[in-house]
Amino acid sequence: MWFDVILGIGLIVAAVGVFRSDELFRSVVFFVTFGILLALTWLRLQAPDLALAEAAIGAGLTGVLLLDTLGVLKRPAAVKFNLAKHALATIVALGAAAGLAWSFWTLLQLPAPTYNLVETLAANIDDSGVSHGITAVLLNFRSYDTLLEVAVLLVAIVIGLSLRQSLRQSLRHDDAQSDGDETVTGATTSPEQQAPALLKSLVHLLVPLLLITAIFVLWAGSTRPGGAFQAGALIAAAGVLARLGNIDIASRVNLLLRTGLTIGVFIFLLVAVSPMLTGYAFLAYPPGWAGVLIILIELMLTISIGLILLSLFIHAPREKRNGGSS
Amino acid sequence: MSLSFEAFNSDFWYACIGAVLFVVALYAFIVSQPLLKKLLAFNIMGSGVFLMMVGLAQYQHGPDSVPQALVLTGIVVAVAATALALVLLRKWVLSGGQA
Amino acid sequence: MHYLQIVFISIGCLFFIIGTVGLLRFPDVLTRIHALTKADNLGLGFIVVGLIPSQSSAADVAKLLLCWLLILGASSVSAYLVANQHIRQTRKPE
Repeated sequence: MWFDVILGIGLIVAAVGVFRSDELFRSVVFFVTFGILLALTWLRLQAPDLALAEAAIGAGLTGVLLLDTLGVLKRPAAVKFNLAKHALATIVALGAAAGLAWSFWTLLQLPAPTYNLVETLAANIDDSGVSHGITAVLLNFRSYDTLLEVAVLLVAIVIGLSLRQSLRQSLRHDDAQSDGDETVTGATTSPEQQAPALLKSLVHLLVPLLLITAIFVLWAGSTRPGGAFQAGALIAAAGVLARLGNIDIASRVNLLLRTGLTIGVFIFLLVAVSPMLTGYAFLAYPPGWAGVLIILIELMLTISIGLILLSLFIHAPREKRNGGSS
Repeated sequence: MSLSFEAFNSDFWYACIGAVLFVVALYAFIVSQPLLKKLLAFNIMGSGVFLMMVGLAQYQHGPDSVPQALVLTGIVVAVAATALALVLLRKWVLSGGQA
Repeated sequence: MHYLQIVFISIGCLFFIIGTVGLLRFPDVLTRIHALTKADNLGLGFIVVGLIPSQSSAADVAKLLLCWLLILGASSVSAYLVANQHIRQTRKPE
């Protein structure tokens, strides 16, 4: 219990550290620390899938994206103290706090609900095709939510790709880029800096290990904590690491990348709609096929999610350089 | 008006922490001037909401897969939205905007 | 055996505290990297050794050791990269 108290206070301290830092770099570091503490919190809440996702995505990938963005931002303008804004913020925050306190108080006084989702899930999980609760909920009982979620991810990457540079520039650039170009660099390093040899050897060691771990996490999601989202995050991490080691991964927006980005939603929709041709409902798996279809959908989702998260990092807008890549 | 304090286990504590995080981050979201800080505050508001969801659902019956699955969805969508917000921020800054 | 585990994990936490004190008190980026990389990884090693008797199978022990090796490699490479970048930035006027 005392560990929980200290961890909770640590979360608040890290969050306050994000806001009270003068430099943006300090804020980002505090934010990554907050993410790691939050991953520990999910473990204490007995949610290992959430801990995996928070550590990989919330702390890892978001940290990389934020640090990369810091290289593009100029020095921010001096913060002026605005009394009206502080007053408004205090009023809104106090209102929100009062509302939340009232909700908590009321919740504690309500009688126990008549339904119990834990028991309902445990009773029905054998019909779902997998034996891990979260995978069953994500890809069977509430698969509609997951379908909409991956559609949201696809919308995000479509917007991200459309903002990378003008169409004329991108057409000229995609034609001109040659195969195996190893002098690509990120936004924060000048063009003549190559990745140090130590980083390259670490990347050569870690990327295959990450890919194997991703496939394992995907496969293990049926029976223990894991699944498509964590595996996709690991693939994105492998891609980001490769990119930081100056290996050219997915930097050309060609048909292969577009296929990879969309195949998750496409296969999911296909599996969702095809039962309707044989008389079943939308998203109803035919009996006996649930386990196989879930693995198929998860595999395609892993590829898509990994490529989406990776592309959001690689194709973020950078400063234009002569002959530079995006 | 009886209040059962046996309900105060660690899950409920984390739900309270989530509420505090939400309020603090809401204040910082309105007050912060650099856009990146507003984005971080928004993220922390989201994390507070996730903690409340899972904490309040689990303090009576123990670990529950349904809110955990919804929060997993939420974490992934939050990172995609953050990445998109960073893309917009970069485009804004590279086109000459401030912050 | 249980007490031996507690001793090892406590020594590991002590090394983490020493590393954090070094992070806060050392004057320079390069010295702070020393504190972080050396003390923290040694502390992690002690914690891993302390956790080994609690594992239920040899595969879990192998996973723990793999975690420690990976963190060792990643932290040393990132320490090198930070030090490299720091030296490159502070030696520019030359």
